[in-house]
Amino acid sequence: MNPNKFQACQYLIRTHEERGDKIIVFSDNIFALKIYAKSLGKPFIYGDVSQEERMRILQQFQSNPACNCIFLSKVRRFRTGGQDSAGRSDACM
Amino acid sequence: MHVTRCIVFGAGWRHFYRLARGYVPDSNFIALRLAPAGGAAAGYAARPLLAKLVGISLIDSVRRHAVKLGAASGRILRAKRRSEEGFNAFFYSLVSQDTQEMYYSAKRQQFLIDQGYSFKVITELVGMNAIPDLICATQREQLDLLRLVLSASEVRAVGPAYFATFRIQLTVALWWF
Repeated sequence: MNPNKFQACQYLIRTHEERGDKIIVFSDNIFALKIYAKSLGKPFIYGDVSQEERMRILQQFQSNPACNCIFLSKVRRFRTGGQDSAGRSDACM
Repeated sequence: MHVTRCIVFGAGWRHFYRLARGYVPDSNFIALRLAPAGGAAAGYAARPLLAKLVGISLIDSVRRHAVKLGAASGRILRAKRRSEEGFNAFFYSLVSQDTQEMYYSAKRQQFLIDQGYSFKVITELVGMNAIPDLICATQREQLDLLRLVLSASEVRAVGPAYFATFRIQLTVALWWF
């Protein structure tokens, strides 16, 4: 865990949120994913998150203007009822 | 809205290009799925692949709501209706210097160069330290984070290299479309 990276991530999310962008942050490492997402108060999806919860988060990300940033682990394919529903986003990390 | 799904299962560029060419002019939106080719490698391979897709849409698409790309592992995202800003999806790759991440980063950069994409390496984010509620701003917070990392069982599985990245400088690679 590189605190500089953590800060850079926070900074970039903030910058893009100010632009009104949708942001997805990927992390290969679940441990880091959880710490990042919790510290920044963002929803996150990884293997152990239930299907229901995933759908809810993705739905929010797509339709709720107040939910502009989500954290995803890269490994899992998101089975989202036949849709590719990560929605629109403008920035990825 | 008409939605076309372009499914690519580890297909070569030529095949992929043909697929994309066929679809882009008629659709507002392409959904691209990647086969989980090669497990861990797929994440890295997929990013440039998606970048490639956007490249095609820039060349071929006459539509305003062109395809914009999405994510590292096979999701595709639709452009917002902000035509005045053109294509501006951003991809950042946050890389700790002198770690294994550099290796992947170098490969990715080489790929981008080969494909003719522009990217920029940023070693300092101006204004980063000025944001309020900056995470890990104090040494104490940094030590707390380090303690958390050291105590986590997941980290032991990863090995010492994981927390060796502590306090290491950061490089941000940015590319855009």
